[in-house]
Amino acid sequence: MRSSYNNSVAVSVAGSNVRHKKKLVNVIKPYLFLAPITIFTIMFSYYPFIKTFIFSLSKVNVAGEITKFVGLDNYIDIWKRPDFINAIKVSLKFAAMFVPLAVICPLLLALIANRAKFMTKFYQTCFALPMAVSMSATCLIFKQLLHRRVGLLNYLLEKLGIYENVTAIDWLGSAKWALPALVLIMIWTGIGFNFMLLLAAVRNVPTELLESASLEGASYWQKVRKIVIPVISPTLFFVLCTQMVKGLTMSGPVMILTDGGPLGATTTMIYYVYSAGFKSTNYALGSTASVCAFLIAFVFLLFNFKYEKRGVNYD
Amino acid sequence: MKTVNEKARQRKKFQYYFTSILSVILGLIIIFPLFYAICSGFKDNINFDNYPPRILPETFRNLSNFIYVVTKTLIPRYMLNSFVIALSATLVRLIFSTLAAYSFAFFNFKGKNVLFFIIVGTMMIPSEALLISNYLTVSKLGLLNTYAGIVCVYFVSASQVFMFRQSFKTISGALRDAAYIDGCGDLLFYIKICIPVSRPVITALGLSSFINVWNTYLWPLLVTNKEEMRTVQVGITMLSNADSNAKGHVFAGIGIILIPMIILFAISQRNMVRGISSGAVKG
Repeated sequence: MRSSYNNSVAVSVAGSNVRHKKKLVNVIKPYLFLAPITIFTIMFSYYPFIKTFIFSLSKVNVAGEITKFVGLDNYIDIWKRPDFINAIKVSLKFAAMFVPLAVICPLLLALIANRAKFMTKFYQTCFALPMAVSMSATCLIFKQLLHRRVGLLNYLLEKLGIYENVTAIDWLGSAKWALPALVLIMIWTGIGFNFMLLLAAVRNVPTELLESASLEGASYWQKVRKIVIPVISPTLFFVLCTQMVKGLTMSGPVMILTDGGPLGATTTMIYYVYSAGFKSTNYALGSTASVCAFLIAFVFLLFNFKYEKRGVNYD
Repeated sequence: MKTVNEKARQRKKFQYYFTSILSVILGLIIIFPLFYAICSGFKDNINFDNYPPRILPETFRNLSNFIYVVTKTLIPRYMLNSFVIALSATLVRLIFSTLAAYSFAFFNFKGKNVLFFIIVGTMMIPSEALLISNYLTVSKLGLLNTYAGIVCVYFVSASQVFMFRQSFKTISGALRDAAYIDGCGDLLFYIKICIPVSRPVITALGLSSFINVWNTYLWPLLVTNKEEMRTVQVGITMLSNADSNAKGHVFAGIGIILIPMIILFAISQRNMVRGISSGAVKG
């Protein structure tokens, strides 16, 4: 509707030659505006995406050149590798611990922040601040806080009397606790953004709805369950999807803190891609692993969208 | 009747104080790691091996760690690198996405929907899946260890295109038609009207993009191996790996790289809330 000028203005221009030129310019113009972003989208998103896929079907040498087409051999091989199966398990385990907490913690914070009226600015800034902190700084800070002997967390647990009969937990150094420790770190880094999103959604819940519910004697949790959650369900769904992808493709803290160890307990799928592709320069294996990781994340997302209609309310 | 009212009011008052105090306490717990990190920059290296661990340093006057980091390590150079990268990536991103959004908002042309889908579709591709191919592309172009090699993957932001399109659509088409008849071309209209009108969105998205690029770790790590080309995020982990006993220095370094981001965040928080809540969900 807006750009009907395309035809109308061109007509008003006198002289058929000029008109023709003008018209041509007008036809090309939208594409010129789009040219820069399209070139880079193709070059650094679609081209590498297709290339990764082709790599996964080929033999690739150290220089990154395809030497032979092997069909699905790489996929058959990779499913026989216990280390990759382990990486999938680790990623799924991580996502299973991470996703519920990553949705519920910021939601609770948003609900609390929406009710409290005192020092609002202060605690909202506190809740949102982790957003500004980089992954590497976060990891280094938590490395000290989670230190087995001199870390504050273990000190606190000991003071609370939890360690009376057991030895202190080596958070990042034991196969059992390294993954939960990484969950804690990832929750902390993600909490700011999701909190802000959910707070904005909670604020938009119509007050008349809540007031009429209170008049009918609904308790706070009833209101949350029956009114707030359904109204903010599109935002919740968005948070759920992004956190799921984030959980399944987590790799930063692993690289900085644990190098996939101890004993592969924190080797996630993307860390596997990194170590196969860049540490052992096996590009075919790395590409196959990244296609698998992509597909697994994609399947989970599709599953989410399948249930979207039932739980998410867009009116 | 009166007593019931009184009771209800008292309960409300209690709830009001309870949630407020709870929020403040939770807020303090959440920012505790940052508080701890900044305090730790003032501690001596040996302090970190003592048990029981301490939160506060003995004195806040001891700036030797900060002085060491600024003068004896490459952190200032890393900060310059990160600054150049984050700024250029943000500027190019903003230009690319506003141009594209302008096209989507104001023109009708063949393939509009396909192109829009192609650009927004990149949101579905996780950047981690592209690492290997992008690395090979950049190395083939001879861009390893250059600013161009680091920033080139950050130029496209589908979510920005999406939000700018939304914002430009609020500008009336009649205004544009009128401007056009008065001889104001598209480029002029884009510069003189669209950009100034969407200034709040531009600041919000620009700041969050700056913070995001400043904070990235993996990609800059892969495409740089020269000391002086590292970004601050890679540099600080290297500093910690190189000398695991010099924790005072590491925390001073963390403090130095955190403070600009925290200030930027404090300035932009209000703007950012609006940016986040306006675009991310209304799909």
